[in-house]
Amino acid sequence: MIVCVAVVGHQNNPLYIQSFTEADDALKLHHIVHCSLDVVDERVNNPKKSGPTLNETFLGLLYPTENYKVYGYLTNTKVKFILVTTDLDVRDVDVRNVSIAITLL
Amino acid sequence: MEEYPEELRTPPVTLISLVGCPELHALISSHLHSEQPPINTLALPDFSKISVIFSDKSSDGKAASASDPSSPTPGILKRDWLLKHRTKVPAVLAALFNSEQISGDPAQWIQVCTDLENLRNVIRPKNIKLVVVVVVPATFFASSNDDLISEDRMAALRKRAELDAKHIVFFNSGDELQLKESLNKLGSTFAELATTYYREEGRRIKTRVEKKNFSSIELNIRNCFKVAVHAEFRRDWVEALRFYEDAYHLLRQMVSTSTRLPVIQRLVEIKIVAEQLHFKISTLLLHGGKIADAIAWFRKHNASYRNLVGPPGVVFMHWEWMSRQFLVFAELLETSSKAIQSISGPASNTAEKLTEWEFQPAYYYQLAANYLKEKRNALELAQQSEEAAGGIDGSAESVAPSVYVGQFSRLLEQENVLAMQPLTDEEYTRYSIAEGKRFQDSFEIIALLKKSHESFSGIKAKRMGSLCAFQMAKEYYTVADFTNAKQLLDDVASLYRSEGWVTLLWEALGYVRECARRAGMVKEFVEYSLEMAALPVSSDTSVQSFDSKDCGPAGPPSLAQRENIHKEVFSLVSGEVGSVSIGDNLDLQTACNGPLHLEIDLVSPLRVVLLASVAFHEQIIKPGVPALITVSLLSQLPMNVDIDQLELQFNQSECNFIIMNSQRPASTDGRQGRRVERAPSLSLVTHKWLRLTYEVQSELSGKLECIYVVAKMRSLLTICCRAESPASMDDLPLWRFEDRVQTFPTKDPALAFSGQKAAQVEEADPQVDLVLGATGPALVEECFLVPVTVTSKGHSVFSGELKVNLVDVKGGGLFSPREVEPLSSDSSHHVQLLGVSSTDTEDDPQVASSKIMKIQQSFGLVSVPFLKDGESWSCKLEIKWNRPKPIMLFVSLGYFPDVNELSSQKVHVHKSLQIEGKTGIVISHQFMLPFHQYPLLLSKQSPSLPMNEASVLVVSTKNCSEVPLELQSMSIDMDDDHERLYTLQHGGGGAEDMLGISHLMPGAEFRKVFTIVPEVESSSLVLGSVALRWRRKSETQEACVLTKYKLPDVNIELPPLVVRQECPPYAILGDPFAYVLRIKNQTKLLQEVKFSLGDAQSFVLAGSHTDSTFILPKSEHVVSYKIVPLCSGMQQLPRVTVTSVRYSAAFQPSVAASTVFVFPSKPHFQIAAAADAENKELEPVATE
Repeated sequence: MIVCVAVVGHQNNPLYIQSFTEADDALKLHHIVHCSLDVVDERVNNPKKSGPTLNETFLGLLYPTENYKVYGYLTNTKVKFILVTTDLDVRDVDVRNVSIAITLL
Repeated sequence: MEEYPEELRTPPVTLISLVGCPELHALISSHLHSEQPPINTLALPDFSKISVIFSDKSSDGKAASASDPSSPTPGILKRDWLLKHRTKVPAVLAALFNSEQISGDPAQWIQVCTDLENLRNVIRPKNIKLVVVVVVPATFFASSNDDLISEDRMAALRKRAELDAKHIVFFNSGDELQLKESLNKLGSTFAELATTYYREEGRRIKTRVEKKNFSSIELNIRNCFKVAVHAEFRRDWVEALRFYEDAYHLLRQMVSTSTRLPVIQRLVEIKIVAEQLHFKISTLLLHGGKIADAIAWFRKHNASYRNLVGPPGVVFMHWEWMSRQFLVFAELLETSSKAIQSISGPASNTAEKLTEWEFQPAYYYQLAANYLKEKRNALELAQQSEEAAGGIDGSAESVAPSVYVGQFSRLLEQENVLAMQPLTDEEYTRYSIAEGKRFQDSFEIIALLKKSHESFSGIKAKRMGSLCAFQMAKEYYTVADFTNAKQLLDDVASLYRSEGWVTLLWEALGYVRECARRAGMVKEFVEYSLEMAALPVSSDTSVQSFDSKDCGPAGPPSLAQRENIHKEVFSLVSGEVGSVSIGDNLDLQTACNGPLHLEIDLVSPLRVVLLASVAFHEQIIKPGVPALITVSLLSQLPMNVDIDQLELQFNQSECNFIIMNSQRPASTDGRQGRRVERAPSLSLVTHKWLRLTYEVQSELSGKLECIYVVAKMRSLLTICCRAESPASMDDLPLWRFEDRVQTFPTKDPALAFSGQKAAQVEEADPQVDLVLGATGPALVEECFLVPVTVTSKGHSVFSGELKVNLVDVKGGGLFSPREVEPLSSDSSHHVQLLGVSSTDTEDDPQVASSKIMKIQQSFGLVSVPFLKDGESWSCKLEIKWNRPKPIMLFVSLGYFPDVNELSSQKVHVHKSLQIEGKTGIVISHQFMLPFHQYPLLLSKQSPSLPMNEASVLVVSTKNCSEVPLELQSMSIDMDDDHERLYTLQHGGGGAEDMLGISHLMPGAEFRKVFTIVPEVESSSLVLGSVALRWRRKSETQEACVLTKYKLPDVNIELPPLVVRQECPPYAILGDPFAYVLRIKNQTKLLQEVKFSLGDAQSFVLAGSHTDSTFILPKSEHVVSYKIVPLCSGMQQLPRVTVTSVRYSAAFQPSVAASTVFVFPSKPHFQIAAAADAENKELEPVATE
């Protein structure tokens, strides 16, 4: 289940962030989304290390926290879409499709 | 990792035992320890100790298990098994005997045999390998050891010891080489036998594992563990890993099947054993360089056990265990990363892709800290419930680790004998809670987070690092270390602020505000509170479910919270004692009794609290004339704020003024001598600009800039806000994307876009005329005068200064001549200011001497004397052009209209004038030969002149300017260092070079003829320069300008032949005349000359057509023809061609020179005689 969707501007400023959990952990999700920007930066700055996934805008799994998985999507204008899910075994293709759908909104 | 025992942390090392010859033990031990791989040594001084060391206490346990195989296994791994095999059970036993003992008398030999027998009895059950070392005396130098001990005795020894010959080693320490050989031999024998021992032991247990003939799963795990350890002993890492993994998997199955121990203790035992196995597996993987595999394994380990929380009362134990897993793995990863140096990228072969952070120890440190936090919370709950249930008794004190790993039992002392008694789960829980209280988890958490923070910062993951710092700060806050907490939070808040993460910033500011409050820092408390109150936290965010517990002391971000904070801070600065709860720290209230001064600059986070925009309505204002200025204030505070008074501070402090709020009681503080304005209301409404427009008047010219806007609020708070220009004002970064109405700071939108906080105050209007009176273009080389007149028309002129600048019209380096264009003039400038001549200097020499006058090539500074109103003063600028070039003349007059220079302002008048510089005179020259005389010049050099012959030099002067000129004189002067080597005759008569008054109109040309007779032969005769003195034709007698024109150097040579043509200037029809050619040979050689004469229709001639003749040296040959003209008019004489054979040079007079006018009859010339006489003096310049 997607528990948080965030749109982050090219200066890493939050443009939109919405969590969808019943538990009171919105603040924690804010922290997770913010920290995941480090991984985005790392992948953008060191594309060699990150392997073939960086050829496209979908950044894939950014990092696993204990309870969540964080996925990223980077647009041409350096706007980032960050998805936080609770499903620990999600296929990359599914997350990618969701990311593209959000982009098209 | 340090809490693990040494034997677990390090790989097993082979152990051997030495017995006998104790003097050699140290030598052999140190050598074996330095071997690769090293071998540890257990040294026994004599054979009697054998039985003591090898008496196996554990045989009791073995006996028990062997005697009753059906009884349940009490535990999984024995606590001391590993240690025992590393330090007590050797793989090889080496018995050292002196050779004398073996080869000696029978008593010694019998002793050896007895010792060997004892040894074999002791080691046989354990399958330990035996080596006999025969120590050869150091003084023995035999070539073979056979000489030392007889063959029979050696055979007997082998038989007694039941050994192969290769396991009886001779140890010879005679010299260094032999000692080294002996030691190496010992080392290799020990290593080989130890490997055999460990292999056999491993194989023995492995067979048991493979047959699966165990009564319990515990034994199976134990044996797998043992096989793995034995494999490690012999460095078979692959097998070790395999059996550790097998043991791990078997253990995991036990979770649901085992019933041996009470639930809690069972789980604890399994987890601790799993921890040890996992540690071994991770170590092996990481040391093998398989980092990705190790990480994947850790992930599995984590997934397998993270949900095995256990009963609610002991959850804290689970979290502690989890935290330890992460910590240990982080340390392992850190050490192996250092060893391997480079972390391999995410492994592609692992089932699930690993991400970057999982390769960073910092990630695990952070999670270890998080789990430790969970543990602390769970422990607190457990303690509370425990205390509620009746407290913790002292029974926990006698609990100690049991024989088996992960088990605990109570120690009972009964009649000086210690006995172990199993614990119930309740007892164990109480023990664990009591143990948990002993540790300060917060410091541990801080240490972990600090490591993580440093590590993340090291890899430039600033946000992760920041999160760690935030968590550290929270821990510091928990333990009331507010200084450290505040320091960390300031950095964290700075990052969130710069990236605009308002919610996170709110949380951080909430903590740091509380830190300031608790630490009694009033100013900081007010600053943080104001910033929080002005954050763009709207009611929308409350839709999200923020856990108020997690949001820190400030609570969840909401408008209501902002308002609360707003009220709280303004109550504090109002000095309303008791109106608001300040918290536990009473110092804050006490400290707030004094005034509070906040400064807001362009980068301050408090810009959201108060933003001051100042705009002058006009960019240029007149001195002494009031100008309008608009001050606009904007606040994002959630509630309206009333300002008591507002002060505008300018760079010209005389302009400062105060705006008082009419609704507030007036105070007289700090406004002595200041202008005071009153505004009906100074209320700042949220998101709405408060605009105030006032007049400001400056007497001083220059920049007038508003620097600060100081707002006083309530009784104690002063906010000093740096003024900003609307044109260059930055947005409020945090509010940029908020949904709000964008308004301009000024009513006039144009002013909002272009308004500046600074304006230029003009100078007072000058009341002095400055006139530059130059007319017409300047001529090159003349001293051009530009009259400058200063006339006072209202102002008196004090300390006047006239600045003169010459600037190239086209710009750029006009006045620096290029190197390729060397100037003939002395000046290094194309145009230069020579000087300034003042008209009144003669009148008042005292004034003139006190004048300041600085003249440079293109700049001049002249002081102007005191002028009363109506007086005038003038001077003349002398400018000389060396090149024709237009320039711009700038003259600037600066003066004080008042005698008191300090009080009055300097006034400036500027004038400029473009002046063309043109060439006035152009001089050219031409060389000519005398009439009808043609010397033969052999050289090709030009110009060449014949020596001792008169040559004609025509100098032309043309007026290129637009003004008439007067020529004064023209002469040819020699340079100082040259002598005149020719005779010069002036065409005008003698040596006279004065021309009288010779007017040269624009475009007109003047020529003067000189006759030059060179007297020496030279390839470059210096002729000198033409010196022409001229001036403008004007009524005033201006100084003459001397223009020099350098004549070229000429080649002078003696012509070998000179041909003179003689014929009358005219002829008469039918009247015969003589046509003579005189060929003069000037050489000392005989010259052969050929000449020929062409026919002409208009003439009849007598003489030979062609002929050849020889001319004697220094003599002249005359060729004469008699010619009768047949036609009248201009007629071409017959063409004569003279050819010098020696020089192969032909001569033919030009067509013009051989043309004659034929009169039809004899003309009558009245002034023939006068004309003839004059012709003798003035030779014709040209007959063309």
